[in-house]
Amino acid sequence: MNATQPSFKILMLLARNSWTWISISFVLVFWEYCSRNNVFPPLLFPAPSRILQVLIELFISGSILLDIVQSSWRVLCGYTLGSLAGCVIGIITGNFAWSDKVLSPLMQSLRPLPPVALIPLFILWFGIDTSAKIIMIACAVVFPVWINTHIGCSRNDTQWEECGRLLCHSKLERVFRINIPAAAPFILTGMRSGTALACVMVFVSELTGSSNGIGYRISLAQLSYRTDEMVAILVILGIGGALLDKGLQCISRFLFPWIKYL
Amino acid sequence: MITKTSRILEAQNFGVRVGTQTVLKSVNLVLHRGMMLVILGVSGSGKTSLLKSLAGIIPHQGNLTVRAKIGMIFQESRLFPWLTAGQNIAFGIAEKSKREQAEIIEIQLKAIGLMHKQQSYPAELSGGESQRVSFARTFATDPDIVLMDEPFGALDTQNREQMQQWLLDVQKASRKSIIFVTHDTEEALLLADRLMILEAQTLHEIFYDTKAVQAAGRFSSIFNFHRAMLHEKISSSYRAFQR
Repeated sequence: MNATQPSFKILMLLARNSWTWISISFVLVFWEYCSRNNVFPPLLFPAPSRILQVLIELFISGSILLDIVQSSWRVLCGYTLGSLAGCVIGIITGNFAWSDKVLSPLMQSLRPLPPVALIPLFILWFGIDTSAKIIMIACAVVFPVWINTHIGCSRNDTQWEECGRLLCHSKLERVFRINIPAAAPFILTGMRSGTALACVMVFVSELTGSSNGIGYRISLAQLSYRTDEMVAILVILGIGGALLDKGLQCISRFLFPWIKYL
Repeated sequence: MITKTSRILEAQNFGVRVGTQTVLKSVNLVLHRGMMLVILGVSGSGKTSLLKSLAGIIPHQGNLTVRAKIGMIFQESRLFPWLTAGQNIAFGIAEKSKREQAEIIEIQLKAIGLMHKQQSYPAELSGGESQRVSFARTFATDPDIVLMDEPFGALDTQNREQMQQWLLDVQKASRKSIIFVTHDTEEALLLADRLMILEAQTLHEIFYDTKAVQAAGRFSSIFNFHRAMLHEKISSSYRAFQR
C-alpha cells in the first residue's frame, strides 16, 4: 500500500487514535451488553444499536431535519451576536481605562448569574419566538467571550506597546494593529467556551414555549416515554456542538495561521 | 566637517525619573548627522532608560531637541508574531501605497539578505534573522536617527560579529545618525565614531578618535595593538568612574 493513498492515510489516522477508538468501543459494547441482558432496564437505557436505528429512522423520515435547521439557525445567530458583543465590549474595556471603570463592574456583577436562571424573565420580556431564543443564547455567550477578550487586551505586552508607540500614529491604531491581534488567542478561547454555552442555551430555551427545535423534540420524546429517541436527539446535539467547536478551530486556523506560535 | 546645523539631536541638563527614583541626571548629549555615538555602560546603569526617553517612550526632564525622525531597535527583536517578516517590515509604513510598501520590503530584505524569508513568521526565523528583520522594520521607516539598545546582546559570537560588520556597512552607506548602547567594550570600540560612558547616572565622554585608530588597519597587528591599548585606557577610566 502506497503512503500517499487515501486508504493508507485513513489507516494511519485510525492507528494514531487507536486508544480513543478502543475506549469508545469498550463503553459501547459494555452498554449494549447491559441493555440486551437486562442489567439495566432497556426502556430507560436503550442499547446503542437501538439508538442508531432510531437515528436512521429520524433522518429517513426527515422529521428531525426541520428541528435541526431551526436549532442550528438559533445557535448560529445567538452565538454570532453574543460573540460580537463580547468581543466589542472586551476590546473597549481592555484597552481604555475609563470604559473599564464604567462597564466592567456592571459586566462582572451580571456574569455570575446562571444564564438558565434568566430564561423565565427573558420569556416575559421578549416572548417565546425565535428572536427571544436568539437573545437568550447571545446573553449566555457574551460573558465568556467578554472576559477572555478583556483579559487578552488588558494584559498589555510592554515590548509590543513600546514598538507601537514608535511605529503607530495613534492609540486607536495601536489597538487595532497590535492589541487585538495579540489578544486573539484569548478571544478564541472565550469563543470556544461560548460554543458549549450556546448548545446548552438552545436546548434549554426550546424546552419551554417552543414548537420546534432539538429541545422541543426531546421534551416531546420524554412525554411519550421514548428514551431511545431522547438519547438519539442528544447524540445529534452533541455532534452539533462538537462540529461547531471544530468549525471554529478550522476557521481560526485559516484566519490566524500564526496562532500556533503564540 | 561638524557644524552647528549638523546637530540632529541635543539634550541639555537631561534627566529621567522612574517613580521616585532618579535614573539619569545632568546628561548633556549632542548627536551629529551621520555619526555613530556609542554609549558604554554596565547593566542597570540606565542605558535603556536613556534611549527610551530620547525616543519619547518614557517622560524626561530637561531640554531635548530632536531635529529628525527617530527609530529604535531593541535588544530583543520584538517582531509581531502574527505578521510575516515582510509584513513586519511594512508595519511602520502603512500610510504608503501597497506598491511602495512592496518596493521597500524588497529593498530591505535584500539589504539584510533574507529575500527567501519574506513569508516566514518570526517563530520560523533564527535569533540573528529575527534581529535583522527588526533592523529592516526600523530602517523601512527611513529614520534619520536610529537608537540601538544592545541589539546584538542576545546573539552568539559568530552572529554578533557578522551583524556588527553589517551595521558598519549599512551606516557607511546610509550615513544614519546612530546612538548605540552596549556593555561590551570590544563592540563599543569597533563601532564608535564617538564614545561615551554612562556612569553614576550621567554621561562622560571618552576623548579617543577611534576612527583614527581604525585607519591604521582594522585587522592589522597595529590596530590590534592600539585597540588593546585603548581597551586598557577605557577600562581604567571606567574603573576610575566606578570607584
